[in-house]
Amino acid sequence: MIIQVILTILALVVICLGLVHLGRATVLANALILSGGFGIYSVWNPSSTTAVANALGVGRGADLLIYLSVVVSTALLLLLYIQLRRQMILITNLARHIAIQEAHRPVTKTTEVES
Amino acid sequence: MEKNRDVWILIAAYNEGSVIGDVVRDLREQFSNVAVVDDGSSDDTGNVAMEAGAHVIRHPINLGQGAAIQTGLTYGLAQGADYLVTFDADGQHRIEDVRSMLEVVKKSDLDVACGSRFLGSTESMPTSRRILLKLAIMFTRFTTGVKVTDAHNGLRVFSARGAKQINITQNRMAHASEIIEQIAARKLTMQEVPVTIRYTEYSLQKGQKMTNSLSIIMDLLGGRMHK
Repeated sequence: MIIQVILTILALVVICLGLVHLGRATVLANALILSGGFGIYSVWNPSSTTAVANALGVGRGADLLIYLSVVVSTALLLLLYIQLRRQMILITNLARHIAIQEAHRPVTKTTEVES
Repeated sequence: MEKNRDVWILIAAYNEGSVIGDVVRDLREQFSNVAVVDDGSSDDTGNVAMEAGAHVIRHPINLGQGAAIQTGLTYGLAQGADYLVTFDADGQHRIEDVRSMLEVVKKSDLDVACGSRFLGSTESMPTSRRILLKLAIMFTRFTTGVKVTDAHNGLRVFSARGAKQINITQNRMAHASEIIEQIAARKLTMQEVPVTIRYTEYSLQKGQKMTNSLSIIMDLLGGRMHK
C-alpha cells in the first residue's frame, strides 16, 4: 500500500514535468504525461499488466515491464550517444573555424622578404 | 630563402613544449612552411612553436589528435599547399623520410603516401609495442580491406587532391583507421613507403597503450552508427 502511494506521487511529478514542458517540447511532454498516467494506472491495477503479460507469454506484469524498460533504455542510450557524437562534430567544426581564423603566422625575415 | 614552398608540414601537438621547438627548427631548415596545431595545450607548446618559426593554429579546447590533424590539413589547403605532410610532434620521424615520401608522391602522382615502419626499420621498439601494432594492422586490414603493413604511422604525405578528399571526424585516436577507411572508400591512390621510427623514452611515454585500443574500437563503431 505504501509503495503504491510513493509510486503514485513519483508518477504525478512526472506528469507535472510533462505539463510544464507542454508547448515547448511537445513530443517529450506527451511522452512524460502518457507514461506517468500509464504508471499510475498499472500501480493501482497490477492485474491489468499481468493480463497483457500472460497474453504475450510472460509470467508476471512486473517482468514484462522490466523487459520493456531494458529495451527502451538501451534505445535511448544509443540515441543519446549518436546525439553526443553529432554535438562533438559541431563543436569541433566551431573550434576549428575559430582556430584557423586566429592562426598566428610567424614573423620571421623569410616571410617579410617574400611579400 | 623559401624552401619547398609547395609543401606544408603539419604537426598536431598537445603539451609537447619540451620537444616541439627542436622538431620545428629541424624541419624549418628544409621546409619553410611548418604549421603546428596546438590542441589546447596547458603548457607553452604554442609559444615555443611560434618562436621556432612555425605557423600556430590553436584549438580553444582540447579536441584530440584526429581533430588537430584535420585542422592542419584544412589550414594547409587554405594556404594553397600542393603537398601536405602530417608529422608527429615528439621527434620520432626523420626528415629524410619526408623527402623520400614526397618524391614517391610526385613521381607516381599519388593521392597519398603512408609511412610504414614495418617495411622500413625501427630503432628500439619494445616487443609489447610491436604486438599491439601488429594487432592494430590486422584489425585495419579486416575492417577496410586495405593491405596495409602499418596502420598507425603518423607520417603521411598527401597531394592537395588527396587531402581534399580526407575528412577526419574521429577526433581522438581512431583517426588513423578512419584515414585508411576513407582512402579505401574514395579509391585514393596510396602507396606505403618504408620509414624509420625512433623510439625514445619520451615518445613511448606519449604513445598509445594497450588499454586505449578498446576505446578506439568503440569510437570506430560509434562512427559507423551515423554518417
